[in-house]
Amino acid sequence: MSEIKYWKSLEELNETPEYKDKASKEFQEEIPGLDMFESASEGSGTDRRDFLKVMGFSVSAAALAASCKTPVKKAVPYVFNGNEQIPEVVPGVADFYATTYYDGSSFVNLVAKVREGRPIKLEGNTDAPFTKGGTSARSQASILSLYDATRLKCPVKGNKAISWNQADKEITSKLAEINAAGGKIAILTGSLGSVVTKKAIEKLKVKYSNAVHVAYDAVSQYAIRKANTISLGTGIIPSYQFDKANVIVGFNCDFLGTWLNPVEFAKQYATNRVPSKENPTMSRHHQFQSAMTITGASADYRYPIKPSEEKLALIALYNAVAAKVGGSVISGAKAFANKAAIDKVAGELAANKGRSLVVSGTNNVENQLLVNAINGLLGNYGITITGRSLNVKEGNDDALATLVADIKSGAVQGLILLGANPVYNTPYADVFKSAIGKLKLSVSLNDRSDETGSLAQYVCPDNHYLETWDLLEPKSGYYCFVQPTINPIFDTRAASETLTKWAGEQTTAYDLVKAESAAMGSWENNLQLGFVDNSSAAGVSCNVGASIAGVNASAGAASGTEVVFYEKVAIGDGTFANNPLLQEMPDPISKTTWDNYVCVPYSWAKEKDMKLWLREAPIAKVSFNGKSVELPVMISFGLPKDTVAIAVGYGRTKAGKAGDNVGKNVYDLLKPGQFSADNVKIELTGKGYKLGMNQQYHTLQEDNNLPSRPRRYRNSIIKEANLKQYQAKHNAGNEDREEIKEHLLTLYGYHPYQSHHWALSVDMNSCIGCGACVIACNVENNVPVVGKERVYKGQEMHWMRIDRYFSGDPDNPDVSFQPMMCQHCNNAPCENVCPVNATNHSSEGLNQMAYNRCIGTRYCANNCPFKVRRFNWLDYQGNDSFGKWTDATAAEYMYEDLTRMVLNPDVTVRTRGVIEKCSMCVQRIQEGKLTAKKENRTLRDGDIKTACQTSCPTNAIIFGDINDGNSAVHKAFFEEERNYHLFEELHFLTNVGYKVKVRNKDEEPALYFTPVMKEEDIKGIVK
Amino acid sequence: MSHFESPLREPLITGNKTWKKITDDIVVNTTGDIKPLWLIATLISAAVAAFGVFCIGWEVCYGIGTWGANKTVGWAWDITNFVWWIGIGHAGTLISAILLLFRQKWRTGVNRAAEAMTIFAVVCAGLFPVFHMGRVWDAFFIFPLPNTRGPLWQNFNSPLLWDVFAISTYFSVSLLFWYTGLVPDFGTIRDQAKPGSIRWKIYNVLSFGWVGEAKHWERWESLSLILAGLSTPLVLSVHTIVSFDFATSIVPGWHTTILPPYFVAGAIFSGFAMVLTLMLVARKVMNLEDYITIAHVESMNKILLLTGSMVGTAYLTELFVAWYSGSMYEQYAFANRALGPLAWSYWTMMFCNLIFPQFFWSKKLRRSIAFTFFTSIVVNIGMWFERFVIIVTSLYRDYLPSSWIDYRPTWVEVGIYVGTGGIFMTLFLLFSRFFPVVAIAEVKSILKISGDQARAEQWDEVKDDDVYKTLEK
Repeated sequence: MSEIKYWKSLEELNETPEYKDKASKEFQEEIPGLDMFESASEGSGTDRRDFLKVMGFSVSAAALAASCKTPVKKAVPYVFNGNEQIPEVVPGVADFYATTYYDGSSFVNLVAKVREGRPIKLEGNTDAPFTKGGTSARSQASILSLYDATRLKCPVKGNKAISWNQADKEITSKLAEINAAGGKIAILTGSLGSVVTKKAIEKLKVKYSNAVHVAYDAVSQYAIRKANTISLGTGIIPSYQFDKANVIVGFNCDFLGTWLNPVEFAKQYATNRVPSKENPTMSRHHQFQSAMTITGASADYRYPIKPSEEKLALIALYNAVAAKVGGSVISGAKAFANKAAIDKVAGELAANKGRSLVVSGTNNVENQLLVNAINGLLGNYGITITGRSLNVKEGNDDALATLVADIKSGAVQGLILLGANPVYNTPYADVFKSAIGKLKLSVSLNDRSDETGSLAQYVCPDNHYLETWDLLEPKSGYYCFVQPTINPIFDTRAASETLTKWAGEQTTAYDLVKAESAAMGSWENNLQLGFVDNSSAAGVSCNVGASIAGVNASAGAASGTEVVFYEKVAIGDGTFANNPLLQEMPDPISKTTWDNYVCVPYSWAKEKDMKLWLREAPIAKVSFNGKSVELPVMISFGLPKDTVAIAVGYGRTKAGKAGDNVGKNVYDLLKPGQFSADNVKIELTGKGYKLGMNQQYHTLQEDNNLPSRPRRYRNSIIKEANLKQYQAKHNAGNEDREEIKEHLLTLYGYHPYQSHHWALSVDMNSCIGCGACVIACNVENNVPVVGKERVYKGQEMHWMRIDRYFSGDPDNPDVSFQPMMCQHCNNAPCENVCPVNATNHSSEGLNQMAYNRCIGTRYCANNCPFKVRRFNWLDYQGNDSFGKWTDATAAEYMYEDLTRMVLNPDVTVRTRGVIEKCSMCVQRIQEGKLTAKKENRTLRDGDIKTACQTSCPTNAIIFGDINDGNSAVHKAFFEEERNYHLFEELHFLTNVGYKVKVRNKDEEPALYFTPVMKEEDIKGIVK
Repeated sequence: MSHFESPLREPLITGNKTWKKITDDIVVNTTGDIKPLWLIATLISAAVAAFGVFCIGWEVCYGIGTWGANKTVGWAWDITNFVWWIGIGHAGTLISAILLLFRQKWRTGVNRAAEAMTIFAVVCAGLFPVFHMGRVWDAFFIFPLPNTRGPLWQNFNSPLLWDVFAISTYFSVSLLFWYTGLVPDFGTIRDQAKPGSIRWKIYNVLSFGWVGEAKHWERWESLSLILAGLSTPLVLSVHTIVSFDFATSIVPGWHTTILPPYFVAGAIFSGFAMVLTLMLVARKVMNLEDYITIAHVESMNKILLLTGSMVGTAYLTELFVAWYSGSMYEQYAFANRALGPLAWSYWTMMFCNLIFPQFFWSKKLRRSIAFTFFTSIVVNIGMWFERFVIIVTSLYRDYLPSSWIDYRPTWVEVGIYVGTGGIFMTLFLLFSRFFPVVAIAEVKSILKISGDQARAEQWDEVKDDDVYKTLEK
């Protein structure tokens, strides 16, 4: 059967080629422009795909052109002087200027890093003979004070701005008037250290015969000078050599944190604190102290004593030493309770005659005389104590008292203040407050209108030290230059220049410094080096007999609960309270920021059935010396029974936005020159207080009602051993590592590292917990300050922190510090989980962040076992697009254009909503690599140093390339048996190694950490 | 005869309904004057929703810092709420897909509302992963779009990316399934309206011009079956993938292989609880007692009992495995959950999810409306705490004690959560007013088999059977 065929036309019927051709087309009629769609293979050029491409491109190009503005900003060629570029300034390349930090208590030789005309970072001056490149938290943070918008912008009279000419004219005429009338002119200063300023004061005294110069320190060490007048015949503070001492005994002396010149001492101290295969020895450090400090935390043996017991302990120690080495005995003193400690210490001291050092930080002449006598008996003078004077803490308590009497009596008519803020930081606040308005002339030369300056008639602001010329003599014969790294930002003037002008000489600070250093050799060399050391090693000998003659053994008894006042490592005496970096640096022991509090011993808290806090503390009213103050209560492990401690340096009212009303001021509660008091009453008020703490748990053993973790858990975090164990076996405390290493395996293979493989090694033996690295990291990496409220909420941003763990007896625990930063795991948990690949692994072992890619899911932070990832919770950088959050005033400090000048241009400023973390200073790595490339050489170990590494006063941190077999970090990782990695058994393969902490103790480390936390304490409020 | 059902089974439609009556009963809820009760409820819900939107706006304006999350607890209420809402959605999918395949006829009474609940819950859930991002304006980075940012692609290892695919697939399939089911019912509503009126036109568009041809029904049946087939694996996969967020991480308490089945069971558990909460109210207010009978409630309670026990078994298994694993971190995490500072949340979870549903072993309680309603609320609370326990009490004390911390929510977080409740209720109330709350066509399909008249006929049919004779006595 044939099919019936229907047809429409003859063409179809006959199936002509034309018809076939037409029928194959979708549109049988010719459509204009259709050829465009025809296949390119047929030769017509454009096919459908091309059309779509063209269309796609045009549409997106049009959309782009229409929607995205590309603003053209006028670019001005950088720093041209006429037609010539300033030769030393190359855009993008930093310049370095040697300078010196001096704060009255300590000095640090620094090198200021200057980018495009603005100083952005301070590094230790590695050539300097005393600080040797070490820095302190305060010196690191001082860069930010330069850009402090609270500083006065010009001289003021009352509240009105005046010109320097007017100020000079009015002040000099008033000075002359007072002098002529026979009124006294007092120049009240802090410890100056500056040769030129002291000269200027001398000139002023010459010009105005009734002028007197009085120096005082808020936290005074005048007793040392006074005792040395008796013992040594000269009222100096000598130089100490902790590196030469095999046995160090400290009495309430925080020489690693706040006492005299801690950076120098830390450098010395650390040299004997790290045992090695070649030299498996350590110095022995005993610390008798009340409040726990980082020095106490680093000590091998720590003995809690009440402040009043210090004298008894010293007498007992003196007698015990005298009995061993020969010497007259002091009688009549009450016995010191801890005789075993004294016997042990005296035995060790006597065995190390001339190789030991006893120091006390108590401002009490008798105690200092006893210390001198002990050192004298042991023959330490000339070896561990040298006669080269350390020109810090130049204050004179007696002179201050005389001045106050003169002010009260009306004899003083004119007052010039420089680095002095007596209304805030002396017990004479009331006297100054009421008298200052009645004086004929009152001038403050401080950089801001502070508590005293705001009451004075004139404030003639001094420069910040980074914008001024100065010449310091922090040790006798050791001259340090301060050179400007930027033009004065405001209309301020160096104090030396101001004072010289008032003395009638027209000059500049530059000329003064130049004249002063004329005899010191090449000006340029000196400036480049930053110091001149005209060594003048003066002999020193101690008169033991005269020293003990000055001791009244039976005097000085105290009763009841005692309080001791201490300085915090960051805030110190409170001068730099307006520095948000320092305010936010956690206290190394309490891990608390932005506050002072009354530290109470654990025994007291137990007695009172006070709940241990987590974030909130009960408020207590503390009464002593007839006055009282309300402060939050902090349990301080290691305080002796019936002793409390309070930090000075808080409660500023006119420091500036960041520093005002932070904590409570206790200076005005003190008795002049006494930093302790007895008969203290503490009553809980029943109120609660929020504390900004960045570590809330104290031990590795956490709760009473939870099962103990086995030792291996602790071992995954902190490993420790005692020296004997180390000497017997170099991997003491680290024995389990071999087994862990055997069990490390993976199905997935490892990252190949063909060139570099960056790593960091942290020595927990060297680390003293001072926090310089934390601040250095903040400054280098533009890490924002978030303010107390945010720290309280656990939203702080520090890339680097120092974890602090207590172990052993809660009444006198051992302390371990563990610097913690991104561990740059080679098998990183954070990298897997990021949905957008914002965090990934570099070919050189870095765990890196692409901030622009981050969408802020925080998954990586959750999955980080070290919790080092930080999220930008709020806008800390003043981005215009975001709402401004106002509960954290300090967090807004970067909203100021001026303050933003401190930002490191090599490091991205992170926007709100992205994760950030330690990058191992990748910008420095890049710079080092580029420098090596330009010099056509391979990188050398030490070319690249991270910010934390350079800031460390004890060289606890080593950075380098573990692929380089000769690098220090390679040796630390593969040859040092103390090396271990955190949670190594979990196979994170971290690029940060830690070294087992070895304590020079006779006892073995505690197997378990003593439980001190109670669970119901979550609320932390008193029942 | 395949349609024979035992007359012993309880009828699923009571009240001696006719097809016409069914149409009238259900369509009447979409016509007539707006009831004041409905209006008040809707306005309150909308106000709460608006507050939630305000809180989201606040958070976007100022940053995640307005929440109580912190350096240690990176996720807290946000992801807790996300998982909770996603879990709630699961009941709808289970009812519409798995129960369809299993030929559970009782599903017809509740599937429409349950599916709507799924859609609305997923909408609420979806808000959290989006707005918990620090930079929500860059949220599109998670989509594998061709881009000009170099050869930059997503990280396909990240469970968070899997979530994106899982949730978006789930949402689209659920939406499609729900809407497909609605099409014939929209046709029914249209047919009840005056032809040519605005109402008629709107429902005509919504029903895609459904006229009820045999071909329409055939295609509709096929599509439903295909979508059921697609949805079935989704019921299992979505919450499995959500659980991967936790299971593939290293946080002690998260890093467990039990999480996928545990999450799925928990999701169905919480979903049914939410269905019960809503339906018990709806059947009362909208006079649907004849369609959502005690038999329905009892069936759902049985599922609650089953899934609650599964979840409970998972809790106990976790504890056992933590102990048995010998992993000290795992052991600590669970000891800390049960005995640590947030133990109250753990025991709330245990009580609500493991212990309380066990009352449903009693038939009397299973059939008690009041008790069922109360239990559904308890289970909803318990399941919220389950997610809170998993997320917060694992994170706040993980490896390094130095970073341990506590966590407190802020008003913004609470506001967003409450706000999603408002969004959910607003959507549900709008749905109940304008859409058929019970699947008219599907209910009709079982009238002749599972309705009360059918039961009478079935008795008739078997009256001579010896077995039934004895039973009748």
